[in-house]
Amino acid sequence: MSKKKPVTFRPFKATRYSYEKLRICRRCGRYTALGEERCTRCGRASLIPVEKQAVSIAGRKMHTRLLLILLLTLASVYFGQSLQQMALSGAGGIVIAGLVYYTQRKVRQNENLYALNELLGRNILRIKEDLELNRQEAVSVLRENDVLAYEKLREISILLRGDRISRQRVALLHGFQLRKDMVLELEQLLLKDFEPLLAEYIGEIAKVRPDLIKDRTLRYVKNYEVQILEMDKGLAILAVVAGAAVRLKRYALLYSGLIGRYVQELPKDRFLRLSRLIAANPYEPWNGLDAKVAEIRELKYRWDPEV
Amino acid sequence: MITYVILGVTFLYAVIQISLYASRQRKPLTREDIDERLLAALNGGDTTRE
Repeated sequence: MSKKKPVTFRPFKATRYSYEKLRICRRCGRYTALGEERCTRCGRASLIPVEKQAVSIAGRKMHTRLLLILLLTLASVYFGQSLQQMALSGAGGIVIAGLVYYTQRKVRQNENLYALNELLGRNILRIKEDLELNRQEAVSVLRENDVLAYEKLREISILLRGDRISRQRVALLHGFQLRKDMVLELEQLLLKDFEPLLAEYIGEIAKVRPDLIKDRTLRYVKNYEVQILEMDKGLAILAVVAGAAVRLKRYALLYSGLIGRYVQELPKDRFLRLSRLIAANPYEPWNGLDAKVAEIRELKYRWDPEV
Repeated sequence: MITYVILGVTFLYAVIQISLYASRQRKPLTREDIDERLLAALNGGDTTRE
C-alpha cells in the first residue's frame, strides 16, 4: 500500500522577477517572502511590495530636492532689496524649479529602479535574516501541516536557492502523491550532490510530467547514474527518465549513451518514438544508439507490425 | 547681493541634481540587473536555478 498522501496545493503565482516576491513592513521594516496578511513582527497590516516602497522612497527624495529649491527661492525673494530684485529672483527660482521638476519627470522610472537597487543592496543582511526566519517558520509548521510547510518553502525558494531548502522540499514532496494537474517543478530542486529522494522524485516526474525532464535533470541523472542504479528502483527510474528524454531529438542525440543503456527497458510507445526518430534522421551521430535500437527491434518487436 | 548669492546657490544645486539624474540616465538600471544582483547576494553568487 502506498504511504503517499493525496494533496492539493494552493495556486502558486510565479513572478517574473524574484524580488517581486519580497515585501517589506512599512512600520518595522521586516522583509518577508511569504503571503501573510500581517507582519509577524509588529502585527500590523502594513506589508507592501519592495518595489512600491522603492517608488515611495524615490518620490520622497525628489520632492525633498524640489522643496529645497523652492525654499532657497523664497529665501532669495525675502532678502531682495528692491521689488525688481525680488521679482527677478522669484522668477529665476521658479524657472530653476521647473527645470528640475521636468528632469525628475523624465528620469522617474530609472530613479525608481535606482531606489530599489539601493534599498535591496543596503538591507541585504536584513533580508537574509528575515528570509531565514521565514524558512524557520515554514519548518515549524512541518509536523502539523506538511502541505503548508511545502507551500511556504516553495515561496521562499524563489529567493533562497540553496540546497538546504531544495532538500527540505524534496523530502516533503516524497510524502505526496504527485498528479499531472499539480504545479510541479524539477530544475529548481536539483541538488549539487546525490540524493536518493531526489532520484525517486525525478522518476515520478518522468512518469507524470515528462515535459519537465530537461537538460539539467538529464545531466544530473547521467552524473549519478551509478548511485541511482544501486537504489531499489534504480533501473526503473533510469528507464523512465530515458523514456522521457526521447521526446526530443536534441536530448536523444545528447544523451544517446544514457538512453542506449536502458533502451531494452523502454515501454513500447517510447521505443516506437525513438525508433521513428532514428528512422527520420539516419545521418545524425547516434553513437551506436541506432544499432542498439535495431537489435532490440529484432529481439522484442520482430513480429510487431507497428514497430 | 544676498539674493543673487542664494539664487546662485540654488542654480548650482539644480545643476548638480540634473547632472546626477543625467549620469544615472546614461547608465540605466534594468530589472534583470537588480534581480540578478539580489539573487547573487542572497545565494552567494549561485543564481543558476531558474
